[in-house]
Amino acid sequence: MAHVVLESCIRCRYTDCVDVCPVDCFREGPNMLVIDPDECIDCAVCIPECPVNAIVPEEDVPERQKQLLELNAELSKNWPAITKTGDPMPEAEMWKDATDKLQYLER
Amino acid sequence: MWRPPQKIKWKTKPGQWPGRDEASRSLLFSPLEVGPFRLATRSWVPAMVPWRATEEGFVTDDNCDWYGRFAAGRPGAIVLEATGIRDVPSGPLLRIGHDRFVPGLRRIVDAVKQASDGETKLYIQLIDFLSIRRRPEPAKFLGQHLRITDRHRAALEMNGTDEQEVRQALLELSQDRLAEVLDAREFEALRMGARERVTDTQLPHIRELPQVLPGLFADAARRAREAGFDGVELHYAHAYTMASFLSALNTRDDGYGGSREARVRLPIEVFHRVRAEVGTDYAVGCRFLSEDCIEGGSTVDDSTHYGVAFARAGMDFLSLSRGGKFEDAKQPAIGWSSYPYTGPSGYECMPAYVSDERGPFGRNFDPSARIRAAIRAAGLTTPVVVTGGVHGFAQAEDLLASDRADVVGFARASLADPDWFLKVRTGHGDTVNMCTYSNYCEALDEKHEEVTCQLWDRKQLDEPCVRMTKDGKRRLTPPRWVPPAD
Repeated sequence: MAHVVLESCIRCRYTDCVDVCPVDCFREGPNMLVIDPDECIDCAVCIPECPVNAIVPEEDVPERQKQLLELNAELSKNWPAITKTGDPMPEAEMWKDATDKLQYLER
Repeated sequence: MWRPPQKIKWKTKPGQWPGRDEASRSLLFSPLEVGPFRLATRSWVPAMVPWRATEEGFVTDDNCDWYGRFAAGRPGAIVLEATGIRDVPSGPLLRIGHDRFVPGLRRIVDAVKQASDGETKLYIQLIDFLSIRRRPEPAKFLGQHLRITDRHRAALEMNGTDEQEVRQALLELSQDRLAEVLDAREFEALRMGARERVTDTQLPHIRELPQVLPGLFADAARRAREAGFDGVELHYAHAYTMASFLSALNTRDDGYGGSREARVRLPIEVFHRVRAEVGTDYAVGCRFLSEDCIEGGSTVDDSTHYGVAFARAGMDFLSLSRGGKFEDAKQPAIGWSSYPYTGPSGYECMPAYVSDERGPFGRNFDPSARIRAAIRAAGLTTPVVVTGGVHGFAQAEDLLASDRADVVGFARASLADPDWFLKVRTGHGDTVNMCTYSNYCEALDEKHEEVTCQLWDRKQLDEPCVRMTKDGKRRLTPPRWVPPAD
């Protein structure tokens, strides 16, 4: 069990979640963050930090985003750790309410 | 951090909170006096390391604030974090291995007495631990630090080759091959960081532990008394030296290992020396494990034997924990040390809300009750402190009323809300900030970061004089609670 970053993060990547994580389990990709499920302790402290509500517990991942479970597990092994909150993506504001963003995921 | 595969999510159930009158009639908030062990209430804050000491082991203002804040909630007693008895560097952990540490420790005593109007007793946990190294860079370990032996040469079929060539060959091996070529301890040193054991009796300083430790503990206890502590708790629990003597894994052949009687010998000798140093009018107890929770480790039968032996020797209180061992700890990242709360035994010690069918609340109640019953059956009245996921009044009161505990410890529950005791006692239990057992605090501890609670560390940051963590993100103590006007 772990928490999962959903597609809302893509092209926004606000990173507010990173500073509050006590175990540094976020990993940074070109336009999205994911959570390493082996490191996450389910403390849930990151959930309210996300401006686009992209973080949910594993069991609350919506049906049509189930593949994010595997993507978080897979990409977290390739992407570097991020331990400090940084700047959002330049066009974050424009993309924050967009849906179906998985097509824009860069690896 | 290990979690049970069942992954059942548990929620705290504090149950009914008492009114002020009911609380005042309760066992939990009634005094307990057995010899020099005298508590105003039967509530207890067990030792927790908040990572606030200086690199040299001295007390800081943040240490004083921390313990003062707990004392403001008026628990019957607080046990100061594990404090090292040797005069050796050990990072930002408190130390008492020299008289120069006494004035700082006295400041904590003063802060606690002041914040509780002298009501809360303050004990200090005295610890000894053996050396543990950080997990090395493989290239550095194999290329420089590992002592090359003929065993390696033979395994590599490189007899007579010079050291540098052997190192080069080792650097090219897979993990599987390394596991064959290196001996078990060398391979462990590579994977986890080298860790000494009490059974390494080929090392003079390990062989001599039974001669050295009684004096070190006794000197530390003398300093504790000088600093004004109400008593000492000898740390015989978890992954550290004294618990390793008690463990069934202790096979020393010098009379201090093997049988139960031999394994408990040094802990008893340490106690006697401490007692001789501080006298009979000073509270001396210990914390030990009701179960090691590792393969081949001590069981509750062993611990029952120990509990009776400690009580018979004249300890003033016994506090029980469980698990928390190095033997099943997770592999640390390179540059980090192994941490004894990352494996299944660590889970037994600090179970989180993601749990199994048994859940995270009260896993140590039954074994503790067995140990206490054996002590009573031996005709001894030594108070027993029981901890582990206690968060509700009814749960604590039931432990006391059903003769399973004499004092109830609240660790994470008091970290989440140090005013738990005061609130419940004054009929304001409904305002308790309830621990969620997420183990956010434990995650910070594992990373050697200042420990705080997610329930309060970002609240009311605009209060005057709020002291913050080094990174400036989190407050170091919870906001003050002002009781509502009646």
